[in-house]
Amino acid sequence: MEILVCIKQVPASSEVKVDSQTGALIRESVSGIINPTDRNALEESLRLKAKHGGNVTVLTMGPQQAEEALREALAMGADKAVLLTDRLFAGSDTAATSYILWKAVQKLGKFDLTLCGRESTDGVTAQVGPQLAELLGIPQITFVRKIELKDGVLRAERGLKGAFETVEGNLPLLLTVNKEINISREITIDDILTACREKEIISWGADDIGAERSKIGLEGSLTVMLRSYIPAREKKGVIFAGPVKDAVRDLVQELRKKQLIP
Amino acid sequence: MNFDLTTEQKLLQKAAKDFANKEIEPLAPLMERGQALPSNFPKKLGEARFLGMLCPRKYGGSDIGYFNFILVLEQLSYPVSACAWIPGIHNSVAEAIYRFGTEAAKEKYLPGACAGEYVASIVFTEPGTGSDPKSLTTTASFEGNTWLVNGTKRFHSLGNMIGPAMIVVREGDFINCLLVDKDSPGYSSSKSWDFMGYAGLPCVDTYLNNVRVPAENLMGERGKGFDILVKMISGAKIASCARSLGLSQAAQDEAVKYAKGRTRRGSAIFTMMSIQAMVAEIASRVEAARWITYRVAFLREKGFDTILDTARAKLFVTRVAKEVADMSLQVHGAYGFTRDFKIERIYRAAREGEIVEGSSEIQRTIISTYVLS
Amino acid sequence: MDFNLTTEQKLIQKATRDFAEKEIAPVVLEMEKGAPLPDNVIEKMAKAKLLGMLAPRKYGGTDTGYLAYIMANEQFSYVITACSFVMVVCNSIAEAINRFGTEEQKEKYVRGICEGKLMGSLSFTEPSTGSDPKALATTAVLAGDHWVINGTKRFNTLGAYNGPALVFAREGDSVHCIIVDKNCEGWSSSKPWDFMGYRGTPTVDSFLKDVRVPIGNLLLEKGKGFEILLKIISGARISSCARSLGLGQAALDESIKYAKQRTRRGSPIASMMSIQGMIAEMASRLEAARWLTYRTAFLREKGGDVLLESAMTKIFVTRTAKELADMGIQIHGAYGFTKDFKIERIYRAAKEGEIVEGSSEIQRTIVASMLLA
Repeated sequence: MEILVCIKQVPASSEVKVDSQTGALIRESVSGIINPTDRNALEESLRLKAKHGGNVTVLTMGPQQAEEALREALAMGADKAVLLTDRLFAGSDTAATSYILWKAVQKLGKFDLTLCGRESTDGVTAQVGPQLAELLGIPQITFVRKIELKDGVLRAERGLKGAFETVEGNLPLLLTVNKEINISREITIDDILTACREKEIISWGADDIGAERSKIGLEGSLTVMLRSYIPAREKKGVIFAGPVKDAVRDLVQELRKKQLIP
Repeated sequence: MNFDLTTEQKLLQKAAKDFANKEIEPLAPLMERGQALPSNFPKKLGEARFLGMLCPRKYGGSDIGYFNFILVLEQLSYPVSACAWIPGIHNSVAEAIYRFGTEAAKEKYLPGACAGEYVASIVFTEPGTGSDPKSLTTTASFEGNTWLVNGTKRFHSLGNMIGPAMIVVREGDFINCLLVDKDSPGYSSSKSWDFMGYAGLPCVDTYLNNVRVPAENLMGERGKGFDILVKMISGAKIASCARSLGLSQAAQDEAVKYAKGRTRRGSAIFTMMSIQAMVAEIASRVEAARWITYRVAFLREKGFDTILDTARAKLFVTRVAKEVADMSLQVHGAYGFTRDFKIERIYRAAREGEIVEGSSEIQRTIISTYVLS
Repeated sequence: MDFNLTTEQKLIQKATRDFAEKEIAPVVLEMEKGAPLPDNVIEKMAKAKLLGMLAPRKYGGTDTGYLAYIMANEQFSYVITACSFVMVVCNSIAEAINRFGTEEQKEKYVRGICEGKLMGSLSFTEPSTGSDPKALATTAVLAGDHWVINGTKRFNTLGAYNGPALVFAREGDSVHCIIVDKNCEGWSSSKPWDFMGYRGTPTVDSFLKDVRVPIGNLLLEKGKGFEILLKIISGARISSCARSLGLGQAALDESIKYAKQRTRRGSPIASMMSIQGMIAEMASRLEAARWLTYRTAFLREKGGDVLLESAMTKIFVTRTAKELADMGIQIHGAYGFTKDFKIERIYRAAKEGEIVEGSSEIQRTIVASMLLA
């Protein structure tokens, strides 16, 4: 089966830096990683491939640096990697991004299954997966924590707040996955060297995918980001002093009150 | 001006050196491997008259004077063992009890302390602060004839050994120093912190839960605890210098011993200029450290205000200890990096001087405040 | 000129660091307390292809190139582990046999190391010498079609594990490098040395008593021992620098973390100039150390033997690591002196760089002699 995984390269550190004037995230000189739930999506696709056979194609839109994320995906086991990069893509919001991804998919062909991570750690909208499904005209199942595929029917368990929901659908469809769906694999040096030295990355710009200028970049964005800032963090701590027995008892009581332990 | 030691002083040095060699040096490597400080050790120190060095005979002390105390402490610190912290801390606190305690407190604690039945200790530090009295959260309130103490103290050396602990507490906006019996109800200790050097040093967190302290255990005047603390701490700093000095001398002697024994191409490495240079460097720094320490001990004995001199001495001497330990280890080559050689524990221990009993940053602040005023 | 890392190098850095934090970090604390190196850890390192990074794919290596290898070393050493030595020794022996060995030797030993089945050792140091080939006492005598080797090797990392040891032995005035299968008949080892830092490093003394080795185990040619050693050592020096870099980065990260959360009068100590000064100092020295190391590694990858450059680099970088560890402890205050904080073992480990794999004194001698020739 043909599987497509959409990934995004996000900043590695948990403390993202924001340009105080433009409000934009400062991307340079911060090392990038594959967005965590995208990595889970890729891992899931590799497991499906191992079980059902087929190919895994990884697709990403970003600056040239995003190539690193694709190499890592190839090292994990993806068969094909496509980088969508063009200055004209810069400033795209989720709508424009989904449009760009959709144009690339049109060029790549038909996929039985498309997987995305639930949301990115830097944008945190969780919109691109659903938007892409709409553009592709295929059904979507979001927040997936478990997949079962049998005879062309996919059964997915969705992880909602305080409940699970099981949904069934026929292929082709698109899934967005939660982090608890799996633990993604580590890559070894061997994998890295093969990915970097022997595999190819296909690189496409706006013209290669026939993207309409009005639908990409700032122009194609339906939303405008006004400001991005890091909120001041208040540190609240409680010290449980006293003899160990008493302190432990008080701590346990407090944790119970906060429902952190049963 | 006279830099000679009197006969009495030389004899005291020797007695301390012999004790260190016989009772502490064999114990040190064992403690480094995890053995606990022997519970009878304070008694041994007491019997050797090393626990009441600054107390008058009336209370069972030997009253040898502050300078001599430092001479003895330097010798006891030579094996570089946690054991030497006991005479250092205990004597300083005993002296403080003598100088600032009530007569009742002196009668209660000093005889036992001098004999080694009690181990005296002091603690200011809390989890939230090591240097700022305004941040103290251990409180004491006075009612009737008793203080009620509540709070947590951190890094309380000897805090789990029976005897009087000088606890620094806050009462509203003021600081008091109270003597707390370490076996009082409500007083408990954590297990000891595990340190990089001076393994086996009993240093605990202390929890005070409604501990009752009699009025007579207040040191000095109510509300004037900070002054006492400052005076007492400057003594502790000089003791810290003595500790660093003993360690530095040990580092030097080990380097010389090794350099004379180890050969390369048939000659002792002592003949190599690079080794000679290091040993010379070590020796000169140790000498400088010694005389600045002795001078400040002398000043304190004479009754001078030594806050500035003590800070200068501690800043200098503790850094020297670290540097000479480092150079000595370098002289030992790879052997210096193994636990089979004394220099390894010297190196690990040397680091504490610049942190404990007022970090070097604090000393710099003190010095610059004086010097720039 | 290009100071950018390639994607491949970045991914190798990341993979190695992830591996170290996931597989190695959990066992570090136990080893620091005295536990030995767990066997399965070496297996895991082999599986992650960390032991044959400098060997060709033909023998099971990954041939990452020397610079990427050094970067991997640095990331691996971020967790301050004795396993760093396993990584260095295996890789350098595999590299040496690959460079100087016969096809037969390569097929047997290089492959074995890459697969984690054989552990290499570099056996030069003896009780009487760590640097002087003229003082070697281990002898190799030709008896028919066998070498018979007798002697003692000191500080022999991985000396008790099966695999090829490059044994440096003298035959008259010539020094040969002979491959010995460790644990063969006549080969025995002491229990491991107990080090101040990187505890659990499997470094032993090995005793060779009439060890018989086929004549074909000679590496390269008779009399080429010292030349081979120098070439291996120049690589080992750079690995030592990589270790220092990982350690230095850890010291810096720990210090920043601590300074941001420790408060005094309500503000983090990171807001104090004296702390800021130290952090700035640490960051800048580390950066200098890093690029000097990478450049030297780059030169070696290009094919140079970098005897001079590696010596200069090691002097600077290993001392920098020690200085950073020292400042790191100072920033942590008394907590830095306890085993509860990572900086404590960083400090203990840091000293190793200036001693092992050619002490800084030897490096200075080399640099001076090459510059003044």
